[in-house]
This record gives sequence, C-alpha cells and structure tokens, in this order.
Amino acid sequence: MNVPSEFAIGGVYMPPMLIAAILGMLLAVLTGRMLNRYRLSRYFYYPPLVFLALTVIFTVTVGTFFIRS
Amino acid sequence: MLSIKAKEAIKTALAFVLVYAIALQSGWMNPYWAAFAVALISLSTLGQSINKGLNRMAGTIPGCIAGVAILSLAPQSRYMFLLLASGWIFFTTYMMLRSKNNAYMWNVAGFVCLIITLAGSGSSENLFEHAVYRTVETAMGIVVYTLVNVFLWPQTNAGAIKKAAGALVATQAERFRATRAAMVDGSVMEQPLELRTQEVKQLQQYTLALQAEGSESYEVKEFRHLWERLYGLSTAVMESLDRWQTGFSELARIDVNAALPDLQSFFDELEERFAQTQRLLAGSPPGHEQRVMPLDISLDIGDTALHGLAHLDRAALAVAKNELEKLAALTAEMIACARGLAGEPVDTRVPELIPPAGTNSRGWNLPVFDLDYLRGALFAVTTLVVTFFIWVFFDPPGHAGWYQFGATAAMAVAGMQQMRATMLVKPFAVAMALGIAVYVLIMPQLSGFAELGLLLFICMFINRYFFSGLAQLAGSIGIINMIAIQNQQTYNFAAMANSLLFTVVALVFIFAMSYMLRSPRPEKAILHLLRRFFRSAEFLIARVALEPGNTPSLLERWKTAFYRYELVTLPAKIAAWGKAINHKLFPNNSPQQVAALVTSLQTLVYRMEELLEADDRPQAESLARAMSEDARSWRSGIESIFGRWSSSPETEPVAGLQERLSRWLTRLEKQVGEVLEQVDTQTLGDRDGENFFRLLGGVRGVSEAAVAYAGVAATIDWEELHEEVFQ
Repeated sequence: MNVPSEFAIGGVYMPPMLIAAILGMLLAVLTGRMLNRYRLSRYFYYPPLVFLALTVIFTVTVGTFFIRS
Repeated sequence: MLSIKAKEAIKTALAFVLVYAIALQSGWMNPYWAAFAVALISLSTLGQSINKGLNRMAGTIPGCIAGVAILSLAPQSRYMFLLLASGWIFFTTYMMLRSKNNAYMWNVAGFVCLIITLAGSGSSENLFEHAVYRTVETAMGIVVYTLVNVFLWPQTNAGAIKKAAGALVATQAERFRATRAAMVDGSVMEQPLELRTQEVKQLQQYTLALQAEGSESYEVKEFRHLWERLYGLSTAVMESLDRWQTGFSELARIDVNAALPDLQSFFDELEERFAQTQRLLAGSPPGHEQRVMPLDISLDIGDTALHGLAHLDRAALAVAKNELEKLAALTAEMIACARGLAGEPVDTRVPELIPPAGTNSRGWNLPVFDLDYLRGALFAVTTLVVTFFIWVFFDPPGHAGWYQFGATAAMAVAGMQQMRATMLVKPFAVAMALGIAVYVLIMPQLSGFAELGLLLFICMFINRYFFSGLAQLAGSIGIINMIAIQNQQTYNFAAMANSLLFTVVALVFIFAMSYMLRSPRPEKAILHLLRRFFRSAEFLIARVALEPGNTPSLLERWKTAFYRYELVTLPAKIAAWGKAINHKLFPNNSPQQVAALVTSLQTLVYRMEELLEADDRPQAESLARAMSEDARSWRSGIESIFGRWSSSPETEPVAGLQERLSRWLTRLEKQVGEVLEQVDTQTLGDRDGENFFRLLGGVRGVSEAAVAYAGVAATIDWEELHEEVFQ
C-alpha cells in the first residue's frame, strides 16, 4: 500500500510518528467501543491501561506496515 | 437595538483593545498579562466582574510575593526551589478546594507564583520587575474593564440580593406548607424533590447575588453581615425541613393533632413568620392587621394522648417536636435578621441553636481536613514535580511551559474532578489552531495599532458572543497565547506550532496523571465513596456512648469530629459523581436511582446527627443503666451492618433487615415499658424524660434509615457498576 511517509499541510511537514500515533489512538478508541458494545470489556482488569496498550500496539503496527518512515 | 449579549461582547472586546493600547504605548513588558485579566474577569454583571477582579488582585499579590521569596531562598538549588514551590502549590490548591467563596483567589495565588518564578529567574532586578509588572498590569486590566462597564451600558445587580432572598424565603414557605399538609392531613406532598432542588438553586443564586451586589453597592456592603446571617439561617431552615420530612414514616401511626394539641396554632405562627420575612425583605410596611414581632410559641405533648402511645412512637414524637421547635427558633431569627436589613435595631445576641452566618455547626469544633481536598492538593504537587523533571531532564517542546502550565492545569483538574481532563483537549486544540491561523495569515499583513486593535476587537467579540463556558475560556487563552503581541513584533511559526502541540500533549499527560487522584470513572468513584461513608458511619456508631460516664480523649474527639465531617460531606460528593455517570454505558442504573440512593444516604446522615446530638445530652443515670444492655446489643448489630456495607454497599437483603428491625422494635418497646415501670419516675425531671425519648428516637431513626437505604440499594445493579468498561 503506497501511503506517503511525509505528510504536509500548507508546506508544513508533520512527523510520520505523529500521524501513526493519531491513527493508532483512533483505532484504539474504536476497539474500545466495540469491546463495550459486545460486553467483552468486563474481562479486562483495568481498561485504561488496556487502552494505553492498544494505542501503542496500533501505533507501532500502523507505523511499521502502513506509514513507513 | 443591540442585545445584552452583544453589548457585553462589545464591552469586553473594547476593554481588551484598550489594555493592549495602554500597555504597548507605555512600553510595559508582556501586555498579554493585562489582557488575561480582562478576558478572565468579564462576567455578565458589573458586580460579579468587580468581585472576580478583586479576587484576582487579592491572589496576584501573595502569588508574586511567594514567587519572589522562593527564588530569593533558592536561587541556585533546584531541589530546594522545587520543594518550596511544591509547598506553595499544595497550600494554595488545598485552600482553593476548601474555600467556597475565594476559590479563584487561591487559584490565582498558585499559578502566579509559578509564572513569577519562571519569568524573573535571570536576576533579582528582573525578578522584582516581573512581579511589579504582573501586579500593575493585572490592576490595570481590572480598572479598565470596570471603567468600560461603568460608563458603557452598565449591567448592575441592584436589587438582585433582595429578589434572590425573597424568592428563597417564598420557596421555603411553600415547602413548609406542603410538609405541614402532609404531616397533618396525611396528604401526599406534591413535587417535594422539585421544591428541594429549587431551594438549593436559589441558595446558590443568593450567594452569587450577594457577592455581585456586595461588590458594587455600598448599601449591601454595609449590611453584608446580616445578609450572610440570613444565608446561614436559610441553609439551616432547609436542613431542618429535610429532617422533619424524612421523619414522617415514624409518625405514620400517630394522630399528631391529638398528640400535639397546639400544633395547628404553632404551624399558623410559623407560616405567618415566613410571610412576615417576605414582607420585610420586599420592603412592604406591615398592614394594619399584621404583627411585626413573632409570638412566643412552643409545642407540648398532650398528656392524654401520651397514655395511648407506644414508647417508640413517643420517641418519634419527641424527635419531631424537637425539630419543629428548632424551626420555630430559626424563623424567629430570620424575622430579626430581616428587620435588621430593613433598618431596625437588631439584638445581636446569638442563641446557641442558630449556626453562625455562612458556616454550619455540626459539632466538629476541632479542625479537620478533607481527604479528597488533600488528595487534590497532592495531585497538583506531584504533577508539578513530574513536569519539572520532564522539563529539566528531557526538555521537550514546551520547555519551561511544562513546569508552569502543568501545575496550573493540574490545579484546575483538581477543582473539577468530575470533568475528564481529555474534555479540555478539543476546545484548547481548536482555539489554538485558529489562533495560529490568525498569527500566520493575518498578523503579518497588519501595520499600526489601528489595524491590530481592530483584529483584537473582532477576535474577542466573536469569542465572547458566540461561545460560553469552557469554549470561551479556551478561545480567550488561544487568542492571547497565539496572537503573541509585543512592541517589537516577531514571527516564529515553529515556536507557535510547538506551543500547540505541547498544550495538547500536556493536557493528555495531565489526564493520565489524574488517575493518581482516583479513577476518573464516576461509577468507581461512587463505590469508593460509599465504602468510605459506611466506614465513617461504623466508627461513629461504635463511639455512641448511650450511657453516662464516658469521657473521650482529645484524639478520640478529633477522630469523631473527622468522621462526622466525612459523613456529612460525602453524600454531596456522591451526588456530584452520580451526575457524571454515562448512563448509556450503565443502562440498568438510571439517574433517578442514583438520586434516590443519595437521598437515602442523606436521610441516614440526618438520623445519625440526631442520634449523636441526643447522645451528647445528659441522660438520667437510672434510665441509661437500665437500657445499657439493649443499647449495646443494638449498637453492635448496627455497627456490624455498617461494617459489611463498608466493604460491599449492597450486601444486606432488605427483607431480612426489615424483619430484624420489626422484631427488635417490638422487643425494645417491651423493654422500655419494663424499664419505665422499674425506675422511680418521680426522680426524673422533664428534661431527663425528653432526652431519653430523643435518644430512643435517634436509635429508632438510624435503624429505619438503614433499612430504607437497604431498600434503595436493592434496586441498584451493583454488578453493572463494578463491571469494567472503556470510557
């Protein structure tokens, strides 16, 4: 998948990690909502930490496979 | 014709431009300090703005002094500097949380110290100069805004305090009438919760009106002590009405008209007192048929009716009688206060019964601390320390802003714990992004103050007119921070972009730090507070002596005062967290169920207070010794129930408790009868008998309130509240 590794808004370049982090957080929010919807969140001991972990996982995944810096 | 909103927006924008003009013309450093004063003190009326401005000034001066002192004591030692700054932030945050009327002043004192320690660290001359300019520019902002408001479309609070007081007394009179009808006729009270909610709102409006009009009117300021006293009395009347209402279930079997023969004339007199108070506050002179002085009234329990009453019913009657007599004393004091406000001489002797103005007296005369406020202060300090180390050791974008903004935002979060810190991110991010757009695209095209002034006017007008609350605050900060104006104007997009990024990241960081306060998930907060509530109740019940000869030590008295404070303040905190629950995630627990839970806790608090108050009174030794075994057995039973609830608030099935209560009441009734037969009642005074029955009524009241709580707790889906969800 050809995703540009340099993002620019009005000539201002954004670091790829920032974009990956934003996408990673969005994916983590969506995952959290799905887990709530199907009542799977009750199996986690402490959802806020799980959310943090999901954010890191998605950020690394997006940054590794989609937005290659 | 311009609307009030448009006029207010124009006035704020005009004052905003004027302070920049004065500061830039005079060559003062950091003109945005004056702009902050204008943006943050502008409220809907002159009095409110003056009050907030004075609070800002009153906070700026000690903040500057503290900043100068800290840098003077620790100019070269970072750890001593951090320790002193932490001490100041801890103190100001705790006082901000504790103080109802001066919270803003303490908030300003806290963050101004951080600004001064940062801005003036180059040299002692620099430090002093910064402190002086901060004070002078804040004062200039307040003065300019006040003058603009006085001369251009002034919005005053004239008459607001009288109107607020009149409306409050009218609501209390209506509530009294409804409660009277429910007690005498047995009629169902219409809209009891709505009236109570309206009363609470009107008390808040009263406070705001007093602050606002007190700041702009000499007349109100002269009688401020009487207005505050009236506030204290109204609060006490509200609580008295609450306690009276919550005791109705215990009077269900009693013919109150027969038991209290003077009841109707007593109630008529109380109604007349409410009406008199309203007339005096409205400034209407008494008519030909109307009295100016309250009659002396009392309630006596009819001897004939007493013979037919069970002892526990007599106890309930004693408690209700006591509450009504308190209400009579309060209403008499309200008339005296209203007469003082109307300009008549007032007797300044204060009966013990009446709480002092603006405070409540619940028996905790020893100084106690609030655990939640301490935790908030600790959170602010920890955030300060961590962000200081982030700045010193990592120096990410934002640099020294981590130290200053971090602690300032932490103070704000500590004061609004029910609001998730991430809710601050969106308005601030949007406001600062728009600010950067103006900074990059518009400002470089401007020349001269006329064009700059026009831009500032338009930006502040839009912010004030179209937005309110948090969005307006974020807009003001975005405009002032992003349109960074100096006499020698330079442009640095990288710095501004970093500033935006830093603000967003810092707020997310503070949200993560807020888990230190407690879990910001409201349902978990409620569970935690409930457990604390019952731990306090368990402690207090264990300390109820129920027999003479018990003299607690100073430590015991302090612990009692602390747990009593916890018991009284926790229901309001639970109510605040209850409002923050996202009911979409917890559909089995509706807002009404949570409100009912809070009401049952508040009832339990009132009953516990009655019991503790009765326990403080002297008891006839003969009666106390005769009942001591039953009293101990009751105490240990209720203590164990509270103990179980302190670990699981839902464990007692209500049916079992109701049955136990019913059996216990029957046994107690029989026991009291036997005791009264055995004891030589000739040696007992009227007071001894009354105190005994009040104590008995307190014991019964706590038992019934505990059963009522169990009933409400049974309707809550506790498993759902314990369930983990992503929020």
